[in-house]
Amino acid sequence: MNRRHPIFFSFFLLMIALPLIQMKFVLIQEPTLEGITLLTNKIPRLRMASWWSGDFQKSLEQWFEQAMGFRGFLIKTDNQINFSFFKEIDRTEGTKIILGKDNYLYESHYITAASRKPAASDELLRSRADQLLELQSRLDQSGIKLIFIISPSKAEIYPEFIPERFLGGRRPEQSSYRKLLPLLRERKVNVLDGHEMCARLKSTSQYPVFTRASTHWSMYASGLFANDVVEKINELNNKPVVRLDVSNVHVVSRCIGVDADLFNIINMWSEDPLLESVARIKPKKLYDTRPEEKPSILMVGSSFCWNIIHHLKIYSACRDLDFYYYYKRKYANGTETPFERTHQTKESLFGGKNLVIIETNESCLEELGFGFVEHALELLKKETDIRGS
Amino acid sequence: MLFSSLFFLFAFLPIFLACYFLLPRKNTVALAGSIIFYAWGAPKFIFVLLAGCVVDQFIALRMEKSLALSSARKRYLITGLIFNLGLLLYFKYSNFFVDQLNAFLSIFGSSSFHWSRVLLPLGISFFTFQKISYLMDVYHGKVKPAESFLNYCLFVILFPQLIAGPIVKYQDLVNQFVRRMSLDQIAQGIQRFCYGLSKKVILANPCGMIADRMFGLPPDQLSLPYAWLGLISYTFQIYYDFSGYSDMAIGLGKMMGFEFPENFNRPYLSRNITEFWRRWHMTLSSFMREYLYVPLGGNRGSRLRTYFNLWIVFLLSGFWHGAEWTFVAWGFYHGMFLSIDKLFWLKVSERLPKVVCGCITLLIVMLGWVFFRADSIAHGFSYLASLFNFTFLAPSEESPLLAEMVSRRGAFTILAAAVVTFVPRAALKDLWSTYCGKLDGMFNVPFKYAVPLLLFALSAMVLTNSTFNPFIYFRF
Repeated sequence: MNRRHPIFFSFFLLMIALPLIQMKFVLIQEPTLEGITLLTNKIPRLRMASWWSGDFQKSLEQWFEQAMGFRGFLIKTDNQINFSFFKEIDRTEGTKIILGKDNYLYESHYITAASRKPAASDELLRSRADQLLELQSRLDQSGIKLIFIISPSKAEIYPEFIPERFLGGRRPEQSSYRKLLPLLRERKVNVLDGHEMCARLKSTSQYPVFTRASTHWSMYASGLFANDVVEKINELNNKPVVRLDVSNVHVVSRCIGVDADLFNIINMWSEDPLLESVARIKPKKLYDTRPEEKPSILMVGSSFCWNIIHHLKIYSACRDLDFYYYYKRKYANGTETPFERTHQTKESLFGGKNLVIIETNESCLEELGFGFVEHALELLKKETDIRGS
Repeated sequence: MLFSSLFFLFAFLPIFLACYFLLPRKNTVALAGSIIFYAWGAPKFIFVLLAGCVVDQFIALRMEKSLALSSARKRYLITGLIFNLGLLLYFKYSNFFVDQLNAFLSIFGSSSFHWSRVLLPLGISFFTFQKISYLMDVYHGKVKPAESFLNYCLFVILFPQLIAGPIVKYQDLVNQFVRRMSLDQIAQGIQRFCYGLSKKVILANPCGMIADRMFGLPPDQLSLPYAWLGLISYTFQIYYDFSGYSDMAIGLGKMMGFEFPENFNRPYLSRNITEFWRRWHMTLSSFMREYLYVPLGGNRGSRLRTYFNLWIVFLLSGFWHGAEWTFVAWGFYHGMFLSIDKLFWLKVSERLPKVVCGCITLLIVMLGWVFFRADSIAHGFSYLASLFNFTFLAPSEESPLLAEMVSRRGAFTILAAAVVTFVPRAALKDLWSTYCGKLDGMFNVPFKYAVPLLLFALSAMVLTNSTFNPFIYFRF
């Protein structure tokens, strides 16, 4: 017998047994994995019905895959191999990330939208602009103001770092953004253009508008944009609600939180090439009013709204704020509350609100409002019809 | 429960091996573990499987008691064949036949035949053939019925080869029920298992993802280069998936003290289709030759009869792989080329350089894989057309970009698969002794022991990471 075989055999048994041992005794602290996943961490209960149907087995295997010992180590190591050797972030499901030049990270669908997606049809964009105008008018009749925000796409603001092999043939003037904006302006919809602000800031500011490691605009850029929102609120209110000096910043040596959201879900070991220093706005209040004079806001939009909401709260720019995330989930003052679109009435949606802010990213303007605009118009028209009858 | 699942590798296997090595009555432990393994994936069908074993053993014992070549013995054999093939036909092919009937009825405007679809039990194609081989061997007196029912059940249900082969004959196993296990054999088993797992996880799965993407493209987005890339990826996927699984089965068998027959022998280096079928899924070829081709007459009759027998065998082989016309087409295709081999190509290929014959054979095999992979006959022909559509060389505007279809890691995997597939072992050995011969003693150890464990760890990493697909925020 080869003397090495017992050692080899023992090594193999140890390798396959270690995850179970780790689960039981936690020999080493597991690294935390960032990101939202859809599977449950609950151990399924064994029942005859679930055994016969195979559901128990499937659930137990899924649970085991999530709870297995050394899972974090294995995942981070495989991701590190992808990054260090293959210079990519290889993922088939979940948020698909592209590693660009100079370690700039992009979500792949923003690159696709920026470089290959044709613009929405003129007819559709005109229809969207008309709907927004109609909504603005009808809300105005109810004493509610409307602001429409176009948030920027990293792939449009920083195209120079996108690897050529991911670029298609769409020309910038063909984008939905460039077609929709003039339509909104000629209809005098209250628009705040995040793309224009970020493009201008990119050339004038030393701080990044989008960090390497994030898919969303930086806290710095969104802080400045939130101030634009505040100024717009002041304008629509005909008197200032709050006035700020946002020229001061403090620099954070390495980006965290939203400024590193893409990096965080990569889940690898090394950080240095991706986490740069970033600026945060240090606002100074020049003027403030009482809370009851501040607007009660209904906001509808995508994940780009979180930064704006964060800053509006710091700036004390609103009395309260309800946020409808993709018009599918509701957050009332930061807490998720039950929401069923079909059960909404004009009162439940707009009751007490005097400002509606709709945000859509420039990469998906054909989905403007995520169904909110159409639904709101329906509710408002129903009320008008009832009054008329 | 697949061998390449985390649950099998890190829950079932360590617990099973601990019980197997620590407890006495290893055959009983092996059978219990195998029943749990199969019942895990098919909780209801395990009873049908066990009942089938009872029926088989009863028939085998009755055949043994009957006189050789007597009509009673034959009747028992026919009963056993009808029983086993009947189960296979019902569970695997009834949905297919009902679909064909309904398609036929719809031509005449008749209403469809109502049918509750039957679920396909795991491994039924493989263990049915094993059971048939047992009954046939007992009938012909090649082997005695199993001494104990436990031994017979172990032969059928032994989990390493239960789901996807190799197809083991009872006579391969009969002398192994009483066995002495050695650490040398266990170590070989571990090496084999680790290599098999890495073939499946590191080579086959990434190639499979590329193949899925390419085969999923509509014709107006499938340029010639994409079509060939998809076919090359699938060629590697199917080989490394199947041979990797066989390696894992053989490795697990060795860990338990069993020696299973080999199933693959570098089939893509074959010089003709005849040789291909001596290197690809060898246990299936052996079964078909022994239990179908030879009883049909083999090559003992006229030439026409020989070709007829070949085509029957390959049509049925194709159909055995799956209840779809595409598999029948694939079987038909291989039957045709085997006949061509017998007609003239074997003689011609002897006079041609090996490389030329190898390339031609590989091309024939690859084009056959189109039907094996395609969703339908129409899809197969459409894909074939894309492979030779020289007017569609550059991706269209609608086509996804190559970078979206193939990652760098995926491209590296295809290259690695090509090297592992085509570089002859002799050349690798020569390279090793030329450049590392002096260090042979020093590197032999890491190569034999560390490399399999490293490949196992890499496979575990890839498998674990495939279960983790995070989003930044909730998506709908």
